Amino acid sequence: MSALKRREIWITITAICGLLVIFEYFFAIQAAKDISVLIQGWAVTIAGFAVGIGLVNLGVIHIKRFTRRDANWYLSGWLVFVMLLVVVLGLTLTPSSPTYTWIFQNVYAVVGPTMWSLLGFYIASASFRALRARTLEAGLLLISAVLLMLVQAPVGALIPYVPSIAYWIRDVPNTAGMRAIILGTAVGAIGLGIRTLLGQERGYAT
Amino acid sequence: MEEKKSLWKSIQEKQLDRKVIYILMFIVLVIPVVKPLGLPLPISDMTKDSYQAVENVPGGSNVMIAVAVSIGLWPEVEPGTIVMLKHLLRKPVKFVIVCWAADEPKLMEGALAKVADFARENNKKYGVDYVNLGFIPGMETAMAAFAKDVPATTPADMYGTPISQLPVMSGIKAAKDFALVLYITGSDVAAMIRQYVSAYGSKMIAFATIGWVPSFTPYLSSGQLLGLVPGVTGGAQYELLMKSPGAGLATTDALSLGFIYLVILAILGNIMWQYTERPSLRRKASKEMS
Amino acid sequence: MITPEIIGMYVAAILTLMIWSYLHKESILFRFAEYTFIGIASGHLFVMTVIRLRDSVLVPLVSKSQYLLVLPVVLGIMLYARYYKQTEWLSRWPLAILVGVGTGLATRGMIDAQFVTQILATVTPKDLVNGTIIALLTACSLAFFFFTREQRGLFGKLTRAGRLTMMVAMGASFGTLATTRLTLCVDRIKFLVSVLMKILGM
Repeated sequence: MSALKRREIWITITAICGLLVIFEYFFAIQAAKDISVLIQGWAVTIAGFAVGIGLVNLGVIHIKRFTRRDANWYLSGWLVFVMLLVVVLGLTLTPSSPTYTWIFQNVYAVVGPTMWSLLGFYIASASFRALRARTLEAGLLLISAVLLMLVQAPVGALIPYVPSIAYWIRDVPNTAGMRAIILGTAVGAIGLGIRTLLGQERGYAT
Repeated sequence: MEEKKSLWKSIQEKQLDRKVIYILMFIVLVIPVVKPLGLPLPISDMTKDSYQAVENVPGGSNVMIAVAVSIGLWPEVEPGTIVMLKHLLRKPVKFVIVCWAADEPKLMEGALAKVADFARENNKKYGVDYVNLGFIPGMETAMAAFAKDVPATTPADMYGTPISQLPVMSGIKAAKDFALVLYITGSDVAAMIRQYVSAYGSKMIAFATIGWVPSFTPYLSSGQLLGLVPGVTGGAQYELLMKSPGAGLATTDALSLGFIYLVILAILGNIMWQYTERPSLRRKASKEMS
Repeated sequence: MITPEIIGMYVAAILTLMIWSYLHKESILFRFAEYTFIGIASGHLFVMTVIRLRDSVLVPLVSKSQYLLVLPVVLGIMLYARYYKQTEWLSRWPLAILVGVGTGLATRGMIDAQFVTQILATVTPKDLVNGTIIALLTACSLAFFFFTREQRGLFGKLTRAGRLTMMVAMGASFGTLATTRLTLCVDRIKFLVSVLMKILGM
């Protein structure tokens, strides 16, 4: 039994799955493709079960807060109640039912964007208090931000030269900078992938 | 007794309460919502290329709409999504919607409900001409599995109807069966490019939130993306191309005033900084005083 | 007449104002809306996942006798063994499959999509003038990330050009991100104005 607990086993599983998926991409061997399709399907199913891990953690944390009467314990109780209500409604009435749709459209789809919209106000505050052209770098950042922002709305087209300069910035220096980031992260990610498949990176299973 | 500071003195000392900034911003954005300015919106090349790519899809083809936008960012891509659905419904093509996160099936269900009348006018029916396959967990793993074998990955649509009972799914087995992939996203496009464009040579257009546009331009310039419709502005431009004004155009006026407000704040803040904090000017000022 | 749509409209408007109360200060109103959101989000995620697993695993297993599907189900359940110290090791197997498949998929695609194709696009531009500028600035930006060599002399000048290029790119990202946030503000304001118009009967 203790042999099954050895880390060499799951490191080997990672390597086999990863190398098989890479192998069938470069070589047209039907058997490899069939097995790759099979394990990719298994991975999708396992990913579905993995979703529950986060939900179980969330539920346990908030139930503990509720029972121990920690700070905001009543809100934790409300959270668990709402979660269970949505689960019961969704699994009994289906997500397409009018009740579920009402909750989705009038509560969930409202609070989410509203939370993100708070950042719009913070950006206004940051524009006045924090955006400073202290150095050449900061000045370039500011000019680039302002031009790319203005060109997203009709007002940008009304100011002479703004569209042509903004689109040039977007298509030339911005593309160059972003391309360097893409190349750099690709090299890093490929290296990390190889290390993971060779068993050098084991953080995911500790 | 404490002297009451004037607004100008507060601005000078950078002690302007941020709530004043918020209230002014609210006022600036409310005005064009209540009384639209009707400013003309130029159409960018990106949006024109995207429109043309959809227009060029041959009749009888299948189109894949992949969605990965969180609910918080949905209002930004919704106008573009709705007008794009109208574009597809107008054409003799079939389309399949697949979602990489849990929020999107309901969001796309809502979008399809908003174009239901348009679908009826064009004799398009759910299950025959279009389908919503719902959520597949796993992100890039799900993308790859779907590209490789559609029926095995999604044996039923989001309502539980087996795909064998849906005429729209006949002949769709893998990524190569889609003439065009439309990716509605609020996150990176790299995974879709890896699993569809690189792996199968799929043609792809992104309907992305504006914040991702600078990050996607390298893929546009390399030809991995055929087009890019940037957020609500792109949606408004697409509405103009389709001659179907909607929520996108209604938002761009308010954005204009909002941007002017942000630029004024940035300029004002920098002017204040120049005359109160910038060391060289302070030294010059103190020299002049002595 | 009070319909679910009208109640929904008022609930949505009240929730919007509760979230925006955070601009004044954090309060019980904001936290109530926040916790409601998290509760619905997690419940909805659970529902959609269960429905997908039911349709893609349970139904084929039972109605089409695809007994091989038992294996990924067992592997998925093994993930929950992590909650017990004695059985924690069992959760590493399905995790190994997930990580292996995910890493393999990402690595194989990245070589072409984000490396070879991007380099080809840099050295074979459509527009000669702008393409040359892009190629030079990309090289300078990549040079900026060479921290193992002292950045001075000609190399220092190249890395400074790269740094300035990155600043322009970061500025472009910031400007467009500001647009996104502002769009969401406008969307919420449009909604509140429409509610007000309905209340005033306009």
